[in-house]
Amino acid sequence: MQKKTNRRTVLNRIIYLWAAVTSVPIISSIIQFIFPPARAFVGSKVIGTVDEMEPNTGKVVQLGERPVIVITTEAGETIAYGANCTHLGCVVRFREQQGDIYCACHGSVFNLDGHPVSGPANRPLEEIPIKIDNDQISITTT
Amino acid sequence: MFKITRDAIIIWFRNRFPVDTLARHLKTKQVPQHRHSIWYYFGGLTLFFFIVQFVTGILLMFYYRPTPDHAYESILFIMHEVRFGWVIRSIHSWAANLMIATLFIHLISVFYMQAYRPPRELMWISGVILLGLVLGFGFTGYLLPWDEMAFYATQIGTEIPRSIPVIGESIMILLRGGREIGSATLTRMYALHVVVLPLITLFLVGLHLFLNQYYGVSRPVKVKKKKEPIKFFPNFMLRDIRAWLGAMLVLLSIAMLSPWGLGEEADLLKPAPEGIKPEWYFLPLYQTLKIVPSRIWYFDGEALVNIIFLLGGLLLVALPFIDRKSRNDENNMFIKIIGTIVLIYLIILTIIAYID
Repeated sequence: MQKKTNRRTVLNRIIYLWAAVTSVPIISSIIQFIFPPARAFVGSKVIGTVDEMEPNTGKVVQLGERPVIVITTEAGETIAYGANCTHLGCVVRFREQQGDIYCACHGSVFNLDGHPVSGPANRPLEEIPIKIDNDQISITTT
Repeated sequence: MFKITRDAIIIWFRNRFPVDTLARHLKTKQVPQHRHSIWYYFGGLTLFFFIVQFVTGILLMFYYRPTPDHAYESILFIMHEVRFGWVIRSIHSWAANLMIATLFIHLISVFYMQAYRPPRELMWISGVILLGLVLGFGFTGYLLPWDEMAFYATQIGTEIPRSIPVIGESIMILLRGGREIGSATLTRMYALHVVVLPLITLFLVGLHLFLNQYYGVSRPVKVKKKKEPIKFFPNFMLRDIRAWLGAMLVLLSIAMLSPWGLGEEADLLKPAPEGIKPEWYFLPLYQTLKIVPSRIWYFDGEALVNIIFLLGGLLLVALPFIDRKSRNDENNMFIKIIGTIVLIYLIILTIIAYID
């Protein structure tokens, strides 16, 4: 038997439609609210002078909100990479004896070019540009 | 003159609250007795630890401050200056672990007894979701002390979903409140830990308990009826209380004899120390991620592990609909063997991760 359309069913449908249409912007606003706005840091940071950089050493500094590993090689060249391991994000460290970059969380090892050589990481570390200006070394956002 | 007597108060309540109906129901409810009856206590024990978490959690909120500058300091204050603070925090941390352990045992026993079969599918689904929520409590609560271990466990934990194709990056940002772990992560985890998760959990625990009262306790498939069932009230309830008192004794003993520690304060720039590990209930996932190669055939190893664990969770939720044999009260050995293999895998990986 065909259901009869009367005033009540029409009103019910209007209410359902109204509720659905109203809930879309409400739910959408809530979802947008909980996603934080992108606030990427743009700029540079002075990390020291050329004389201060001891060969075969490394240190982690902050650039904006992210950690950056700055290494001075045995040859005296200064290089910098994003310090978060590309596997699961732990902060890496420079190993003087092995001359590599190591993540203690899952054992990933990167060479001084930032490329993974062993362990579970499969992507290279992000290279951070270095600028030397009047003997002062600074790192800049990519 | 109007006189308020004890009987008058009881009558007043009886007329306004269905005490008699509830009492009648409790008196008619029965609990089956058989060689597997001991497993029935683990649901109640999980509830007991949840109540302990609720009470101690509220007490800790009086002093805890959820900002990177104050979180660690406020935990130190609770532990060293607030009277009984160290015990309350230790109970909260130990009860969290015991709650997860009893919940796992409860879930495993329900699985082997095939108690998820009709009409208890909703009890199973709400139970599996509750397991997910309890793991969520563990994860969000772990960061709150803002110590080194907590920081790195959260760093790894929030990075894990990143490898999931399409939505992974968004999930990571949503969890962290940004690209890096910082004050936004801490306030997010705090809000989830003390408001969002408790509200959903309370609702689901209510639903789970209501269904438990409505359908009664399930008898395992093919278990012979040798003994007569016992009354839920007061017989089983008194035995349940006995188990709760035992659990309280165990909890207090562990919390006082082995107080929950606090590591060094988190330093965002400090390289990860050796031996960083998540809590025991995340060790199987952690160890799998560690041993799986970065590329398996054409796929990203990490993404594959995440997807397999996610699918495993979904299959667990859908179990009552997958297992067709149990609907006819038949023993499903195939499902039990698969479950046992998964369980052995999880236990072995936990042991390897623990001693590694």
